[in-house]
Amino acid sequence: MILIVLPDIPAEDRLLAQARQGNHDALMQIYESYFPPIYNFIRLRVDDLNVAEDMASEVFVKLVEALRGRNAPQHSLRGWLFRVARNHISDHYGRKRDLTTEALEEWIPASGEYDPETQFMRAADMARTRQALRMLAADQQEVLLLRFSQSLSLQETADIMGRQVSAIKSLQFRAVNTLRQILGEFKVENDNG
Amino acid sequence: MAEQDLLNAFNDCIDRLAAGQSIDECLRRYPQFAAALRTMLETGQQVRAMRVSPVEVAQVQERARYRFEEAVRMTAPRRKPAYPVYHLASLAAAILLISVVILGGAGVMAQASLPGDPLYGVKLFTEKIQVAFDPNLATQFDQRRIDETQQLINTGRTEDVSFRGEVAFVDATHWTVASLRVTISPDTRGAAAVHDGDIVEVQATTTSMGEIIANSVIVLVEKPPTPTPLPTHVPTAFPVTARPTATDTPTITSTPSITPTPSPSLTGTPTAIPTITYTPSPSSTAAPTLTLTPSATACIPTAPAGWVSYQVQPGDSLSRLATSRNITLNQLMAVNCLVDPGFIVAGEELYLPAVQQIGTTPQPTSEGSDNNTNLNDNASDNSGGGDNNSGSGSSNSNDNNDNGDDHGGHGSDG
Repeated sequence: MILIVLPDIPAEDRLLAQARQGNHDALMQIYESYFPPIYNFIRLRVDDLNVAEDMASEVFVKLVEALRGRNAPQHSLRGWLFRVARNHISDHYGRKRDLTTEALEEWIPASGEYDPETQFMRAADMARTRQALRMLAADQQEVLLLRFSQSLSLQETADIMGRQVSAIKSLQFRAVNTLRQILGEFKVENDNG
Repeated sequence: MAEQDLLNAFNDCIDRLAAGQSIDECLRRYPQFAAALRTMLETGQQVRAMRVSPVEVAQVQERARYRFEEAVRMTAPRRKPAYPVYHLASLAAAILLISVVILGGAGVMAQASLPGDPLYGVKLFTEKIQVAFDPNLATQFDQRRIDETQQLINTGRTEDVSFRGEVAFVDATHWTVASLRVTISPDTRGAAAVHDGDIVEVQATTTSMGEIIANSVIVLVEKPPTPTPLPTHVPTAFPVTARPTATDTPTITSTPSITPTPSPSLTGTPTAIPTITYTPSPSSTAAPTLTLTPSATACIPTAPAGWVSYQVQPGDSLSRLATSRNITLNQLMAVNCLVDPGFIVAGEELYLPAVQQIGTTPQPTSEGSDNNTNLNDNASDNSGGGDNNSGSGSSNSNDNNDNGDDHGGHGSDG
């Protein structure tokens, strides 16, 4: 079950134009379509459900406020939403710098909890993916979530993260290799223990 | 250079995977990088497999919707009006306020005023606004101009007037416009262009002798050239006279309301999630959660015979649940449409075989219907720890046990 929202650009722009004119149905449609991906993106970076919920909610309130003002997004609604979500996450971690590591401690599953079945080991691997992801630098986590989890294009990802396309290309390469290494180390640790 | 090629190949494969291709398909395009690409793409696919429980997404979306709608409501009045008539509506409201509140009876006096009276301008302005709402009123106001002119003549006042109507030639210097007898002089501008039967606007001056001296005439509608007159083309059949006024002061209350009432058409039903719980039969009640994630696959969790719904507790793991019910993890995941065995959230509903033998850990034996009302509470109480597959430290284990006891209590209630 992969969450892919392939962008339908003309429809998205039309929806955005209607929303700018205050069309209530268009606003609600934006909410219904874009809340799940935005929440997924935030929640995979933020452990606390309440914080994630607040952030996602805030993103869409911001949109309503922006549409009223002069800095309303003119196009690329999805990119705009992810950019605001990303800023919220950065602010959150900027305030509580040590939260990442705290959360990680809770997240690491004790190996004794698990059955030795192979299927179960795969389950553990999946859980560790998330744990390993949290060990990456923020921008590496972002690029992997945007490119893999959200299936955004290279260009969209570059726009959201405010970087050149070429920079994103290297970043995603480095990020995936770092993640692979961390996952590999987990595996070694687990085998030894 | 080779590294740059690898970067590009990796990027290309990410896009192809997103479009639904398999890793192998993409590797065939880049055989020289196959080994490196495979590990990287497999790692990437693990990231893709991570997801938040659809139940959690649906619950959060439902809760946050209220805040969103509130924000929409708050900002709605400041939206740019969709129709310029809204501007006129507020303008008209202001004008009416002035005429009614500040001027008191003057508003009514304005209605009765004639050309040259101090309040005549207010009357014309009010009419202009009313016409903006209801163009049909124009004919009614045209008739007023004629009536006003007639009143001026009757009282012998000298004023500049303006009115419209159909022309009927009487003689070289006299016409009838609507019901008024108009004197045309050599100084009257535009008179030469007028034909019998045209509809014209006349700018004129009334005299103390009861004459209406035309200063200028403008043809508004030419008489139709067809020999057979149109149904409307009857002498004195100009709409002004054909339609007597219904009311003297048309109200403005028919203006569209400015505050939009948000339609709740798109909101989901909050009861959709609890209904998943109690249907052990292979019904499709699980569908509502899927509709909220439009791009979700067609997999719909369906309980095989003998399976019941179970609410995930803090500390649960899929593998442990599978073992406790004597099924394989694969079975458990297939029935519940799960792709990521490491990511379940407390409060999530799963289908499990009915309990025959309880595992080593204390678990609620069954989920009574009462428990479902606690679904939201459980999810938020256990926030942060909800997706924890286990407690690592001793304090965590204690917490989990406490929770387990709590839920056990609920279970026995139900």
